[in-house]
Amino acid sequence: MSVAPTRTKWGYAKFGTGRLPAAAIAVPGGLILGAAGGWLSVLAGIGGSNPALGFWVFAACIAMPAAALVYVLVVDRNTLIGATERPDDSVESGWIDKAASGSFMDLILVLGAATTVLAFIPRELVVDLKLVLPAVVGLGFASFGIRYLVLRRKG
Amino acid sequence: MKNLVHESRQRLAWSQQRLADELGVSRQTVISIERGRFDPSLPLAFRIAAVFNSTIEDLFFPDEQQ
Repeated sequence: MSVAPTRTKWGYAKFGTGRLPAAAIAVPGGLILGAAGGWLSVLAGIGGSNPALGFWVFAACIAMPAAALVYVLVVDRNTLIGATERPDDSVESGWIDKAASGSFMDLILVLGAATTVLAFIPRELVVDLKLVLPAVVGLGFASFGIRYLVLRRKG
Repeated sequence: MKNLVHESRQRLAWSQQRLADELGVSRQTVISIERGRFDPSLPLAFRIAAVFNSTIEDLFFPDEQQ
């Protein structure tokens, strides 16, 4: 009887005492989420004049990022080749903590300043609120990424 | 905090990767500790002392004491 290797390139997802290759969960999960996204786009009427085409375009665009998201959520990092045994004790863990807390502070500062400025602009200048969430997410990603890279460069 | 991790590792003729593997951390962690840019957690400091057959007090010093 052959025993599956403890560590592989794509790792495993653990469920109780058992485990499954993480990709075996991520790929079907991504496809299901992609199909759900395509279906929602058709229901919401944002798929264009051809619902079938809209479904496939949305499904194709959503499936891969969704699969990546499911993979990140389910994979046990200890089962990846090259993973350290104690990632919490590694310096990278400290960089992540510092970058996350710093980017949270950046978000509070920028949102506070932006809200103050928006409170005083003339009514003629309308700011589309749909831009706020992507802007906050983008700022969070950018702040975290830059802070992490700076910490990494400092060593 | 200053330390003698670099000197202790050199004495054993270990590479940074070898020490990282012994400690279960990344090689970058060893680099940062040796440069004095990262203060290890207490459990990690105990493991470092153990692999060098030493004590924490013999390996790590506050900046002003060295």
